[in-house]
Amino acid sequence: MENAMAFQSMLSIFLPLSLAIVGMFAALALGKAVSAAMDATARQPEAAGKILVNMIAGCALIEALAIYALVFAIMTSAKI
Amino acid sequence: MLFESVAWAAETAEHGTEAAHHAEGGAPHILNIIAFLQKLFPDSHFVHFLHQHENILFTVFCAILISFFCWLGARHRQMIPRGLQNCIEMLFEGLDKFVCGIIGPKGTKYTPFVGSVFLYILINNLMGVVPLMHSATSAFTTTLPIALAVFFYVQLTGIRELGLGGYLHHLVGSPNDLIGWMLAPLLLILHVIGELARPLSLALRLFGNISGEHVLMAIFMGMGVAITGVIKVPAPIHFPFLFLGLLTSFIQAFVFSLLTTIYLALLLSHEHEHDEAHGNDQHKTEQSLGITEIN
Repeated sequence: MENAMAFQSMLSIFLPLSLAIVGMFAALALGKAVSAAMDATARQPEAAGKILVNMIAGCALIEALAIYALVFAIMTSAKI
Repeated sequence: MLFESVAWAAETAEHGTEAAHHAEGGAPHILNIIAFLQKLFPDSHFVHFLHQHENILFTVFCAILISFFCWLGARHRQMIPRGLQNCIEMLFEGLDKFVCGIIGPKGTKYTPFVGSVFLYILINNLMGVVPLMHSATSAFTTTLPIALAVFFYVQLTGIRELGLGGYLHHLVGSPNDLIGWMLAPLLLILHVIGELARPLSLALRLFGNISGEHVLMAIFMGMGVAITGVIKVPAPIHFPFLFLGLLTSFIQAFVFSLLTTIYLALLLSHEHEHDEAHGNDQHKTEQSLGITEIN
């Protein structure tokens, strides 16, 4: 009984924490990608459309990692 | 404490007419018309059946909606389009341009598949923002079949366009010298794992984004109802997230079809190599180098 309580309280501390860490690094990566895309657009405004498409593809790939963590957290949150 | 307050909010909302309710052990989700019917008639077997198959019902509804509008637009076809036909032609031309921009002029062949995937996912996602509707793409069992369809379509297109030999040549990393052939077994494993990871990552990305957005909206709806006790009016504090929902819906549908097109383009890029095999060697080496970099 006590073990189960410890397990649940550990989970409720570290589950949001894991999401926070993932969110932090995903935000850093997204910031890098978007700032590079902004630089590129400023240098060559006529290529803005192509750069936007490539940026969105890259952002989706970066975001996917954060989303995996979110899916895992939602699945595990049923155990709390 | 936070969990308690959320659970409390969800419970409070259950007594309200709209907003979120708390499913057993899961995240809160938005009340849709079928769940509402189940609340009205908890004993009816038919409603229970509907509730069990709600994702299928909503996807079928979405397919009917798309088919109906396409039929409506194509009913009186004219050389100079008017009204709905105009809109639909504009949409399809945009999709065609998008696909051809990535694959090249031969891409028109693949527009029907990519366009159907885009429209189906977009309409399914957008249904989540409509009150009393539910977006079926927030379930993994809806997104995985779409991703598997994309997987099989891409592989079969590769076999059809490159031939079985060309397809296997692509799978071992298109070697054309001794070192390339020595690395082939290693690259085969890498390519097979990469190909198998694609449907999983496509499905998980769509499912995670859409269901995450729904949980967010449901929690804010629950909070909006929960503060009724303080200010006596249900506050629509989830309102800004509806715009976020619109944005996510479009971006996820776009990303899904973009990645499908990119997978097709990666397979088909070898085709030009075969076409230009008679060109000079310098050019060929340069091109194959470029392709290895893309891979």
